Amino acid sequence: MSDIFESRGADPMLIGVMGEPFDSPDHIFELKQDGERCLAYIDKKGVDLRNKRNMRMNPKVPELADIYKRVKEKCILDGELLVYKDGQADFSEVQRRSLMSNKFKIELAAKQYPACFVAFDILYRKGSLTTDLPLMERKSLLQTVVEEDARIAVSRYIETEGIRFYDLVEKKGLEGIVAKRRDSRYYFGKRTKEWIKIKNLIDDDFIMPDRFMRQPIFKGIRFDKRPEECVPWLLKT
Amino acid sequence: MAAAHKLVISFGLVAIPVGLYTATQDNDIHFNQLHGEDQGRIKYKKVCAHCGKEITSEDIVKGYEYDKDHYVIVTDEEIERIKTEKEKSIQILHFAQLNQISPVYYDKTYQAVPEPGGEKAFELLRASLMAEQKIAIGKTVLGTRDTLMAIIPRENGVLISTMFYADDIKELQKSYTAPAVFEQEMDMAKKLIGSMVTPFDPAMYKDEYQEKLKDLIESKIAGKEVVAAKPEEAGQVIDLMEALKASIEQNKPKTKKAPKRKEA
Repeated sequence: MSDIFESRGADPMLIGVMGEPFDSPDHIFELKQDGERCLAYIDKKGVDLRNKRNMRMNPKVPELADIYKRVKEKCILDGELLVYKDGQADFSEVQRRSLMSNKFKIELAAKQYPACFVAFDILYRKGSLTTDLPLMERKSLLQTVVEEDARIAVSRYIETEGIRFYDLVEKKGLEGIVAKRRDSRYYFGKRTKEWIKIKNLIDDDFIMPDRFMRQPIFKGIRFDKRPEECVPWLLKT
Repeated sequence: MAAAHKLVISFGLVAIPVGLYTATQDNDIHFNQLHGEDQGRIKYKKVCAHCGKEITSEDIVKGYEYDKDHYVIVTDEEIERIKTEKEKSIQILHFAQLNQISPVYYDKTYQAVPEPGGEKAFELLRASLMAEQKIAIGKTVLGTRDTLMAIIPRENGVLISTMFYADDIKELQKSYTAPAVFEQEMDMAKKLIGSMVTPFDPAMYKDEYQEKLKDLIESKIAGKEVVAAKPEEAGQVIDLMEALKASIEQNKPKTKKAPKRKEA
């Protein structure tokens, strides 16, 4: 069985460009949610959530074990694993969760701040890839496949008006938006220029303390504006 | 979860890169010690039993008590010198019958997963061990210790268990003389055993004390949090996205041109 579903062999497409807000009839605009990118392999029996490094996230989010019941067909969904805190996605909470291993602590966290999977793309459906379909066709497919509830949602998008959408997102202090070409295809593992990230980020200088560079176990660094708060961030979880 | 160890299994002419992942985890409830009066955490201080001074790590040396109150001091350099060279490969020494090894020798179990490129040789080793009902015995260096290991094939993967040396195993403290048993007694006992055989299902057994402890703690936490049940039908994520979408659609500009954006 070399089926990409069975082998869990899908690799998410990545945003390739950063840009300024723009309006375009050829694009749609989505909220850039501050969570952990995941692919969800869903069939009648259950869901298998894999992060970008293809690690199973299921043990970390037991509250999402039933989302497959809201999905009508066998499919691979691309989306973001989010934890909402005070009405906003909270990345540090997702990160805290992904570093937990004690089941009871995970259960407590799952009750206090339950996670949610927001699907924004569909890569496979009923035995065949959907990656060659234009984005808008995948979007409508996604809409028919998923029945939303508090644990699984389908990402909303805005047509054409990227600038007004961005202004609103900026005003609300959200992370940013992503522009995607309406006719774009999905290429596994590729950094695509057809997805453009428009980030609500204040320019600043960042300092990386030398001591973190020398620690080989850290594969990434999370920057903070103040160097004393520069926290090494374990990407290898 | 990151691999606890990365090793190479050398088997004949092939070298199989594997990651070892811990196979078990502690899910028990652990308590912290707090000061009853103000609920501050209890800290430990190291104090010299002889002079009463508080000691920092620089002041501490290692001693081995060879006789009551008599110590030899061993320095870190001395220990460093005799540590085994870090070696990243498991040398397979020989193969043994799967059921021949007493469980007393098994220490900590890991799940072995092939690293990219090693899948084929890994599967070959697993499948052939499985078919022959054999396990491989090997040695490697984990941390600084020379470690004996068993590579154990399973239907869906490979377990690697660290093993105790014969030297680590206690001798049986007490022996008993086995009284003779009659055939009829044996038959009856066998029948009883036969009637109680069911497949082993580990999920059937739970630590009930831990379960009760969890319930207790959960109810205590729930008592503290006044915001227990949040209304959750729609989902906060959907709410937020819908709100954004609605506010874009409601406030469609009258002119076709979007309002000019200020420079950020």
